[in-house]
Amino acid sequence: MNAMQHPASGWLMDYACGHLSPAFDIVIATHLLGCPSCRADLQLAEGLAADVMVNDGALAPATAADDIFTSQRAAPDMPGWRPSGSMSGEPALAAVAGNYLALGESALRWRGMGGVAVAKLRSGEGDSLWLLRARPGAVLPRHSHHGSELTVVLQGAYVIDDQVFSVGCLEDADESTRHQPIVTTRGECLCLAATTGPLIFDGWAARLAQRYLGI
Amino acid sequence: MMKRSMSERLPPEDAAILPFPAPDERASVVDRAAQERDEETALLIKVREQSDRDAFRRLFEMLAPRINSHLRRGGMAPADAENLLQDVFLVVWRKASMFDARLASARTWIFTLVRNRRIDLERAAQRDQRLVADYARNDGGVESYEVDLLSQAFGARVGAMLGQLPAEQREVLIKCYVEGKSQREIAQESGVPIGTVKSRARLAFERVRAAFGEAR
Repeated sequence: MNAMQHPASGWLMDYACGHLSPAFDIVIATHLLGCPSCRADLQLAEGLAADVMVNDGALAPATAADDIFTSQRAAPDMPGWRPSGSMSGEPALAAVAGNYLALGESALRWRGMGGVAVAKLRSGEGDSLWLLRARPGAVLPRHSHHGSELTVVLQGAYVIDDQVFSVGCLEDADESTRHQPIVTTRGECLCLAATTGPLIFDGWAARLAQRYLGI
Repeated sequence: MMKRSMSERLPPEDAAILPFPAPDERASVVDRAAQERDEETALLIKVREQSDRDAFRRLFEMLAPRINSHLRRGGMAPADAENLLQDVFLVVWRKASMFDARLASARTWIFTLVRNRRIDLERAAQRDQRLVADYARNDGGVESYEVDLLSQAFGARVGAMLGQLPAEQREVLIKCYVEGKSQREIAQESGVPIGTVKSRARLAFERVRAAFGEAR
């Protein structure tokens, strides 16, 4: 099997401290769902952040412990980020993929060209979250980036040079990276990707497509 | 399996270049920090298993002032910090069953509750970018962090390790954790390529993993 591709530690540190915009947060969380070793690293990164919090001085709050017992407020619904042990790895990611695909045409506005389709899921804080779907063997246009681009594979696989990105793998690209993903011939490839700023495509045909796809 | 004590994982004393705390005091400082962490976790287990009010009061006493200070230093308004604190401790009291000591210490679990709630509130309020700028509480750059301040910020446990990192790796950890900056913001601020920040973060984190990786 091919080696799993993981996010650099800096991404896990940013995730642990809550520095990421929603788009990048979701992509990292999706990789974590399928990756026990990054979950172990995340626990370390969160442990450091917890130590910093505890060492950040002390300031008595107005609230007392006994106020909590008698509070009429509902506890907010926040499970704390812990993927369930009962489902992780490829089945979990397949479920994520299924959930997105089940959204259907009304919720997802797919725009396609040459065997590749993209749908924008959300944008904000200058970042966008995309779903990418490509036919087996599709060759994506060669491109670079104005900022970061994180991609996690939900279904299928693609190849860049001699690296294979299969289900759960995370590809970390930025302005120093220029790449041309090629989908493997085994099946359709579905990815979740976060981007900062527009991509930079080589060639006029790709740039024309870019205008149409809005990516 | 027996858990190794913190002092066993410290480097030999002659390898330490950190002047604070003094080598002969270091083990005891670290032990006290480790004891506090273990005590917090024991208290939270009592809350979870027996809805023990005294254990909850003691845990609140240990952590609430620290969380409050952390939030206020991060630029949060007093009333917002107070609300967030109540949200988090409501979860600790009513939903302690979600805590799993095999995955995290009490303080780490509670930190994730604080973080997640903060993110939720910020996103609900259409996060204002100026808040990020306010988050930095030290404008003097990384040089102004004396080595003993590292121990104050990260605790003796991590401070001792940070003292031994190359300056540029230490800087990435400090800017990320203490100043609340993303790797992208660190690159922009320091005028170095994002790839350089990523590789510094990776090297620094390898040291963290080597020092503490088996502990949790």
